[in-house]
Amino acid sequence: MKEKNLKSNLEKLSSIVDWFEKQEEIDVEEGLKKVKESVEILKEAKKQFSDIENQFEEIKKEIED
Amino acid sequence: MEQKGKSAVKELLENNIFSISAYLKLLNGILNSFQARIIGEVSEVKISAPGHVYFSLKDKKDGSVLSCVIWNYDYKMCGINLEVGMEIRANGFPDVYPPTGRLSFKAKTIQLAGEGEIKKEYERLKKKLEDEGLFDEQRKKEIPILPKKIGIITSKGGAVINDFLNNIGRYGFQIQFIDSRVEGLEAVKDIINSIKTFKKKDIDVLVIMRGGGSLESFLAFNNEMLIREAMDLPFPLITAIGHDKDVPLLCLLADKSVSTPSIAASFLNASWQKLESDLDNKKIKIFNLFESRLSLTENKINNLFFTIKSKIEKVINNFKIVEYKIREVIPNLIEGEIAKIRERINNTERVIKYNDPQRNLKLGYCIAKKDNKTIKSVKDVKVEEDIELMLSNGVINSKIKKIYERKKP
Repeated sequence: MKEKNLKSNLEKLSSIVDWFEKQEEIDVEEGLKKVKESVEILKEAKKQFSDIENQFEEIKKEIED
Repeated sequence: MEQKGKSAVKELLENNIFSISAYLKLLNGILNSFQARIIGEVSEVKISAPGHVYFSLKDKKDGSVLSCVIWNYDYKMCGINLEVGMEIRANGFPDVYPPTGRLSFKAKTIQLAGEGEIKKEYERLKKKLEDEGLFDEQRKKEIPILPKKIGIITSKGGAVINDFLNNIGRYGFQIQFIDSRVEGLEAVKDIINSIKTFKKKDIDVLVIMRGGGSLESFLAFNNEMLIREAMDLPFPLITAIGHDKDVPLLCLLADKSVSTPSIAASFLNASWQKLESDLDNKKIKIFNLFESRLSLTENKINNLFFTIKSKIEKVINNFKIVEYKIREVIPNLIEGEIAKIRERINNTERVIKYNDPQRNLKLGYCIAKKDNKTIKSVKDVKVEEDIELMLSNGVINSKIKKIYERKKP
């Protein structure tokens, strides 16, 4: 699977939330698939976010030294 | 050594007979070493066709007179219009002019000496240059933002240059400095030459500086030649010339005029300092904005996580509710319904029981029947007719003897 950037991952997560919002009666099997998918994306998004945060801290430190 | 030189000249003079020309050459050689600054009142002025100026200077005390000459170029450089009665200072040396044999003082520079004259000349020139529009605001050039290459003209001997250097910031300025006399008869030439040199150099701004002093000591900065040399420079001019009330004309011409070298330095520092603080502010702004963007993103990730989690939890809860209903609520409901039915049956049973005719027969009541029909009124029967009385444990056949009808109340 092609690795997506944080922005597209967040968009994907939002679309999963929208899917849940729109369902009046949730198809449990489909819902579970979505949840599994969202957990994978969340893991990746959190890692991407943490990388960005670390890089930013390093830049901040560099410029303040 | 000097004594030896003198005796050699004496010997030369004693032992030779000179032609007029050779003697004048020898004489002028010696006279030329008598360079001096002299002061006197102009008593006569003649300007020759090529522009050389012949004038006489008179000693105000005893009336001694010295013939003087100043060549056209030097005269123009001095920026004075010689007039009879002016008190001037002249710098030069004596010389005998061979064609006439006349001794005259060859002035290299002349300068006004009387304060009244200086003031008068200052006002005259100021008006002239003003009328020409040299001091107009629209002529002034913008001092470049973030100047880098600075040209400086001042004397290396004074405190001025140190004052400037002590105050100029460490912004990577490339300073080119030309040492120049800034006071006295030679100052004009020096400054003009320095300006000419800078015109050929690549600089962002030129700063001409001098410490404070009297109107007389600023004469160089009120010199017309100097001012004309400094107009229309390819770079802006800043002057830092300390003065009291009469602003030197060069300062009026300058694109920016300040009173001290330290202020000039601060002025050059200003745009760099602003840049420094702007960069700091921009850095803070960018960092703050990015930090808040990071925080928003973090919140978004967490919110998305909780939203999705709550969605699936809702589904699971719905199942649990259904399960609970199946396990707890529905059995109770059914049980309740059964109990209600049971109650209704019991009640019905009780009512039926209560209304059972057999129960009344046992109590002693009986049912009278005629032709298998229950007799409900005395009018249903007649005397002598056969009827049956049903009791709890059997039937009695009877004959009606008499009928009594109850009167209605």
